[in-house]
Amino acid sequence: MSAEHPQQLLKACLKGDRRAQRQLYEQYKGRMFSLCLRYADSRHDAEDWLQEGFLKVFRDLDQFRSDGPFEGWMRKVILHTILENLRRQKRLFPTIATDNLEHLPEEEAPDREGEAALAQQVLAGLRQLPPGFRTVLNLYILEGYTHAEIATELGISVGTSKSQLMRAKAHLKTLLEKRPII
Amino acid sequence: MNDPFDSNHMDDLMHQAFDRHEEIPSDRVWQGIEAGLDERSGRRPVALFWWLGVLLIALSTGVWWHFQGKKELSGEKKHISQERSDTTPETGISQTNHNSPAAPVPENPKSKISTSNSLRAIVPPRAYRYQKGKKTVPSPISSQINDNGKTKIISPDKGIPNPLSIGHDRIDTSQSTRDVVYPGPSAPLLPVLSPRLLEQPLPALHPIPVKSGKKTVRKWMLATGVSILASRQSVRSTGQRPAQPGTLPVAITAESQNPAREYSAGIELGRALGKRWELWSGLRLQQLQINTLHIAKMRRVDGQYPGQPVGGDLRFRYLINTPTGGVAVDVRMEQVDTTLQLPPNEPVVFAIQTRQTLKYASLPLFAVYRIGQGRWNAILRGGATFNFLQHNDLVIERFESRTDRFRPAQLLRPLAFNEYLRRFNVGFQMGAGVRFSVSERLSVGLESLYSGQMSSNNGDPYLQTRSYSIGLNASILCKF
Repeated sequence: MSAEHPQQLLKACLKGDRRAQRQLYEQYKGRMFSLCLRYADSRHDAEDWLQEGFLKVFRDLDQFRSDGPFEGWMRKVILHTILENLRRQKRLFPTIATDNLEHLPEEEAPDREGEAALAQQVLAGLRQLPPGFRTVLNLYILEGYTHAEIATELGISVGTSKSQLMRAKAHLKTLLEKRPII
Repeated sequence: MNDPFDSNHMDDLMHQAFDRHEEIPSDRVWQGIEAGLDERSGRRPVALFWWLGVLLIALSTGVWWHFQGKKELSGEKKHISQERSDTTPETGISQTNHNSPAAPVPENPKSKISTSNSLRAIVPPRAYRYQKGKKTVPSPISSQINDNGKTKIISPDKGIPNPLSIGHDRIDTSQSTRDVVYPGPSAPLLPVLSPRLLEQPLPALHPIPVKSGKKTVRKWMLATGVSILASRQSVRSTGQRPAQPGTLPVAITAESQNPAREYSAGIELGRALGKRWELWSGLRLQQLQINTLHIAKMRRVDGQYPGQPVGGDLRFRYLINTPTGGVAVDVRMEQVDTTLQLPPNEPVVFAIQTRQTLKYASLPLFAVYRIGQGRWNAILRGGATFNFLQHNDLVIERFESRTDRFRPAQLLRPLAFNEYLRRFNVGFQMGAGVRFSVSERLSVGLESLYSGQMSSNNGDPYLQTRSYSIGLNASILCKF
């Protein structure tokens, strides 16, 4: 099975062909894992969510309509998995004192240059944000959700979403300023 | 001058960082997906194992019925033919039904030749099942024996004792006395047999001669039993673990003594190999409950970043070992006074109390050596158990810091778990005990057991584990 024939790959996955499922996973695991990492406290959590998300993708593959891009649909499934997990953990919006952020551990500054290094550094900063801030920031900036959509998705008010976003940006700025971006 | 972190720049920065960002997850993700897909499609190895268990039980039942059937068949026939030795060619014995003693053997040449050269006894089966418990029940039928023109009536009515409940008689041929056993339980009376049938050679139905006082050897055994074991698992974790992204490299030294209780019950099928040895296999269901207090010391070993201050959270991974693998616990602790720093090599001690319940289906394979031939036997056993994990449940009952400066994280989740459990492991088992024969078929046994694992099960090079269990096994054994 070749990756150049996505429709055939999807059909094979629908039939439960394990090699095709593996190929699909290999094709998208990097981007989807990056998505999970942005919302997770740890790599571990991100891996758990990725695993659960891919299982849902394979389970619900018959619901995918081929009129849209597959990656967009998959991304949506995995994002929903992430949000479900965050809701389950009930720690989306903990009360957190801003002062505590000043005393988070110093971390190793990445040596690599370019986007990968930047991503690592921003990821490190995101991990230190409270989950609620991190989620709103990701949904708004990277997923393109509106505040109304975020409010619906997370069960909060539009005003809360806006204020969380502002505070998240401010905190992330503080964290990144402590370690100048290469 | 532009602020690189103003609101708009922050958006750009994040897009720049993540739009094309990819990160490779570990292999365990695909393994988990594959396991999930297998489970969904019902192709679980566990299901296969259950089928094997059912097959084993069906097989043992089948073997039992097969042997029972053979005994009944031979009991029904009641044809006993025994060639006379060449040294007494003139002796011929034929036997007729007691109810028709006058019925003559047909006078035909074949018959004469046959009766003069062979000893035959046709014994209606019920006639010889005259021993019920310890009482001797008179047989309604006796036998007539022609021995070279002399007739002797041998009847169980005369009180010939039957040492075996399955049928036994003594045939007196005037020249020799032979004990004959008719194996098998009771069967209906045979219809009157034609004299022609008497002459048919019956090679497959020779009687089984036994010497008086000897028991029939029963080779197959079915046992069911329960075991209760107390386990202790010693886990020692040493060495430096590689740091996770966003964490410091740390070394954790941990020791735990895990008192555990283990219960198991099952059914096993055994086969005697000679007088002393037995080989057993079967199916057992085990439940293992481990209550553990893990005391661990964690210290920074980030020698490559000397002088770098560390305060606030500490995040590290701790592994809880189980008989079938490890449970990785991501521990997050924070300093009570966040302005303090944690110097390298200063230990942080913490305690985690867990309660874990593991359920296995096990396939034991072991040999038993029997000492003694009386009612009491000493037995020694040794072998392997193939364990298949069915269920795992880990509950953290307590998590506390034993270093005053630190406490479990208050705002974030202090503990997170990931299981690296193997679905299959192999253990060994040794035991010694006694077996008492209640009757010829039934025995009871009591053994002390020692069991353990053949190797560390989670493949973690930093863990040194020892696990052993001691306990008792009580069983009921049926021979057939």
